[in-house]
Amino acid sequence: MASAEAFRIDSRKVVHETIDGEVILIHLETGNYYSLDGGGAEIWELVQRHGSAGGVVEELGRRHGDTDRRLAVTVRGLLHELAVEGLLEVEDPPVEDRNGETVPDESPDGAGTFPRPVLTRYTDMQDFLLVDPIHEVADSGWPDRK
Amino acid sequence: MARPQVAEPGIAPASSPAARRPPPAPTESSRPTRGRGYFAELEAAFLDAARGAGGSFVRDLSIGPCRVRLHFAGPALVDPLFRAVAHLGAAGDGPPSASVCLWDSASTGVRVPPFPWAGEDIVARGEVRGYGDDVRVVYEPGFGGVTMFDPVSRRGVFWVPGPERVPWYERAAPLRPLLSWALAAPGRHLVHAGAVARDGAGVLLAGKGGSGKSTVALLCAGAGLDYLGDDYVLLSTEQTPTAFSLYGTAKLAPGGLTRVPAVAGATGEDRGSEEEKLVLDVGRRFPDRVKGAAAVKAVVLPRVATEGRTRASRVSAAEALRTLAPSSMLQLPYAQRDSLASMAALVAGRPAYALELGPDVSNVPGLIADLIEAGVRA
Repeated sequence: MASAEAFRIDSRKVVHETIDGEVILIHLETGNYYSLDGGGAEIWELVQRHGSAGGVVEELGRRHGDTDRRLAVTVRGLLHELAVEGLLEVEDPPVEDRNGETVPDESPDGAGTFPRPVLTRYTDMQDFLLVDPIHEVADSGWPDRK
Repeated sequence: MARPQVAEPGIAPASSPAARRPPPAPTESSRPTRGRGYFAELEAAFLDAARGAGGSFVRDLSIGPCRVRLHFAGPALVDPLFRAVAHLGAAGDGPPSASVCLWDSASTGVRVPPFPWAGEDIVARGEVRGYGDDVRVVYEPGFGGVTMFDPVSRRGVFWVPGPERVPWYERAAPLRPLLSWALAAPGRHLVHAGAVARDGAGVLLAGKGGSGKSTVALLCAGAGLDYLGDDYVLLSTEQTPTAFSLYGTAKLAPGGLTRVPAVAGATGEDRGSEEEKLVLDVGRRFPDRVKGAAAVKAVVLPRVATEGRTRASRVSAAEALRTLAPSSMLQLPYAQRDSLASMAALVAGRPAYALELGPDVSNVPGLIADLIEAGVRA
């Protein structure tokens, strides 16, 4: 894990609440919303506190007594997924990404004792954000439409 | 309902107590800006329009702890924009918490000042790029209207090219962005949900369009329960979570009337069948059943099912929040970020149920009444 890897939430774009161990996230610009379940809520809590994958892994290891290397893969995989969805901003892309490193074939699902995080994306609200700009303006000028 | 006030011809807003007070002194947050400049132009045009239309017609709305004063330039927009909120009409003293000037060009002969933005600046939900940090602006591409609101002075302006341009959905649920801004406060937000109640205690009906909110709300109203709305209500979680009615209308998809026989024969002129939905004036059909407020005892998530009996089953608070929050926040312009916390607080403190709507929905009012009763007892 690269030490320069840092994550933060852009609160202008993303709002979130945790309830019943599940994080509900809404991306206000894309119109997508998400459920983060399983171990994801704990990772989400910790990434806000530590701002880095390394910090999240370290504290999870302490909390759960989990030293399995796959825990780091699980955390990094989720944070990367969250970044791809625009739910986290990556302030310094991880070295591994620049080098094209891939996640090991072995599934992180059973990583130690830590429950597998599950991120579910919902796209059924995107219609509200569809934009139809007004390009045709009458000779008299905007706001008269043709 | 209080008799509407019709002001004397002239610059009628000056006849209202609110307008007699001097405008708020400029503060750090109310310095002239591009948005405020255009807002001032629209307000000045409204005054011209009111003069030309024989004065302004003033209507007060009482919504929970808020009073919103509407100044119409002439009578042309009163019916299209006030009918759905007429049950909120209020008399009484006290300054309004917000006031809004409403006018159109066709009936008043006053042209709207040229927009300072370009068509390409219109972004999602009608928000205008480059505006919104001070004065909020929404352009409605669907009918060419403009809504502006200054949160510092708490004044708003609504302009539309002409009364005939106000579409069915705006007449059914008018001024939604304006009301969302004028009524918002910490712990108080518009939410995309209906609400029905009995004896002051009720349930929120949450779900995206087509989920069955209107069907459930109308079935309940037809069976004698109180009706607060089918699509949008004001939710306050400041103390006891409470839903406040906004619109005394309901919108049903064509064919939906067959499921709610209690209103099927009473649509009258409401049965406009304009475009996609029927607009029902619930306040006129059931004048005693449209109520202003109810404590929220449970959250109900209707779902249309193609088979099976109609039944309610408990769901998690997270599922309720996932159903209620995204559509509430993503449909309204300039999303109020703190509304998610309010909705989370609501669902964390009371039960949530999925309501599977099978082919036979006759037991819906009984199920809802049972859920209300269970919430009251809890």
